[in-house]
Amino acid sequence: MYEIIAFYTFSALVIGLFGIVVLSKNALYSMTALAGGMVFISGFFFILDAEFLGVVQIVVYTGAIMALYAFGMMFFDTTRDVKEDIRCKKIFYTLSILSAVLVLIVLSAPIFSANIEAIYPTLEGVGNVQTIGLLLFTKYLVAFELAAIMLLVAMIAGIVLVGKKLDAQSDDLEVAKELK
Amino acid sequence: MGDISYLLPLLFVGVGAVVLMLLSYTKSLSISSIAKIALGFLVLAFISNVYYFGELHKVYPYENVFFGMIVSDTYSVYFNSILLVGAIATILIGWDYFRPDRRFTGEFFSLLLFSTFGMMLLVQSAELLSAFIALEIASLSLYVMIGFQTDNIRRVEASYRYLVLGSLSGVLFLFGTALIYASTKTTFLGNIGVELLPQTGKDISLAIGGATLILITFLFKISAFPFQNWTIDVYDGSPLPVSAYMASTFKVAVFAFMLRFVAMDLGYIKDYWDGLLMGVIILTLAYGTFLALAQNNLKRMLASSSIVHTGYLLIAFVSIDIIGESASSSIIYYLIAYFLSAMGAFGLISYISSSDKLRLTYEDFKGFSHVRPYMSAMLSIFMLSLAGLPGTIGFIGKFYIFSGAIEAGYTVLATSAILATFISIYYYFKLIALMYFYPSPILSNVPPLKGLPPIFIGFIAIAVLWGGIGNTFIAFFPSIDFLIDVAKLSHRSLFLQ
Repeated sequence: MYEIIAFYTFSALVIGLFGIVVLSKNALYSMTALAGGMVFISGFFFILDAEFLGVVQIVVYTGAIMALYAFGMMFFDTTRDVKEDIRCKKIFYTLSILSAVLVLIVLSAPIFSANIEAIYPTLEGVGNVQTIGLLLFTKYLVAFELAAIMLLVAMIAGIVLVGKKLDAQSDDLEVAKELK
Repeated sequence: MGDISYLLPLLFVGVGAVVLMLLSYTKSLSISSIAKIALGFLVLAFISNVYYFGELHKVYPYENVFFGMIVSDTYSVYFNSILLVGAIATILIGWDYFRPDRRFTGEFFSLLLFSTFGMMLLVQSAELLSAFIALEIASLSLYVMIGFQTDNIRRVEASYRYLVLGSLSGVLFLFGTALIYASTKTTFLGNIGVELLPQTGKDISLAIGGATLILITFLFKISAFPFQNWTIDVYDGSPLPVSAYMASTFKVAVFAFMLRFVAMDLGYIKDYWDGLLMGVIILTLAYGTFLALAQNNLKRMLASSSIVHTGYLLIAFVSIDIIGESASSSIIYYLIAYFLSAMGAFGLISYISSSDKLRLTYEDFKGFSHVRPYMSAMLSIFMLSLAGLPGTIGFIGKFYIFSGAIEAGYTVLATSAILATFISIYYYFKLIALMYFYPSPILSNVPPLKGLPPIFIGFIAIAVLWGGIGNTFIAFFPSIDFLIDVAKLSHRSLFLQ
């Protein structure tokens, strides 16, 4: 019962938010809507009892990729022409209150029902965070550790490529000082 | 000795990379002493690797911890030796090239070791996921090595181009792994083939699709026909020792992994590829040849001829399911032959151009033999070997590949390869002719043979000649037939239990 309600709620929200992403002319609004949509997509994974994927979805998409987008936007300064212009305050307040009530319902719903059970769980009994953890730290330990080395290489690469530019700039500054 | 002895080469290179990373922070060490330390680690790794050279074995070190993800067999020891020699050669060739005034710092050697580490891991990985990560470690460090001189716009462009295209092909590898896992529920080499076997006659299009995506990554990394466009610009844009490193070692590592994968698991799927690969080979040969004919710049000519050599190698790759052992040993032998000749040619050109920033064209070499007779002799040897003339190692390599192709029934491929070889004589011999048959020397400010790199390049030249002469064709001459014997052994070691 709750899964179905949750599914349709999340679907409507995701479709609505992604609609805004496509239709909005303002980059800031599209991006905020995209971030919201990504969070709601993770809801689907939780319903499917794939909580690991759900968390990864939030961390990777909402955390990392959206932060990248936001960073890019700040670079190009596209937020300059956004002016919040709320004409009808009543709608604004109603929407805020409604969403607050919605969050309350979502959080308190388990009190009234049994724990939400997945209809189509991927594995019986064991949560898939445990399963993935077990696999990751036994069978795929080598790959996991090697990924750390890969990140180390990427870090060195980043420092080498950017750090030298900083060196050059400080050299230029010193040269400029000497010239004075 | 325990399991650790099988991992020592990897450990030396990996630890060396981290140590160099830490050392390059201190300003008191000069770049040549950092290069010496890097060389020391590589030589240590080479010695610990050669210990098992030519010994038939297959070990999964620390199987209860690593779960058989890393393997050490005769095959991996053989390829690791080539890779380590490649890394050592890169440092020796670039001894005068990597200078602080060219904005080279200690981190460059750390990245070189990291990339060697990744390649060795790729050769030793017995599983698709760790192979992907190894491939990415190797390529990531290579991207940065290419663009290390950030003040030179051509380097940055080459690095960026390779980064974007290389990551795209890497993603295909990962996707292919996912598809293969979906179809066989395993990512371990050896198990995939076992899982595929009972599905004979059923629909295995998932596995075929996955394997084909991995094949695309492979074709991209070795710059075969539809994925060759990056090659010339990237090779041309990178520092010369790095081009040499890419052309010789990276190709070896990628070939080593793919050969292992196909020989162990994909014998059945490979039938689906035959037509595809034949088309790829003929187009690779034709396209590479035309590109090489059109170049005027020497570095670009070598880059485009490397595409042609990829074509030759793929011929043996196609016939691997028919004449397994001799096909894979001829691939390994040809890889060594190409490795030596390309390393020598790139190294010598990098030495010649190390004094000034000019880009060497054919015209610059007019009458070069009158100024520097020994250098032109060495350059001629490398060109002869690349063209595959008897008396050089390139001939023996081509001989094994072409005769293998005819034996396996791919006469069309052998014919087109021989045609490509005929044409290749034009662009290789043009250089020799210009060096010897013109009076006026243009390159008069070339440094004389001095220091470490020319000695090393001279050694390579001798090795190229010895590889051509020293085989059973001539009796009572110390031969290097052990190379092909060990190559056969290493193919056999793939199938040990």
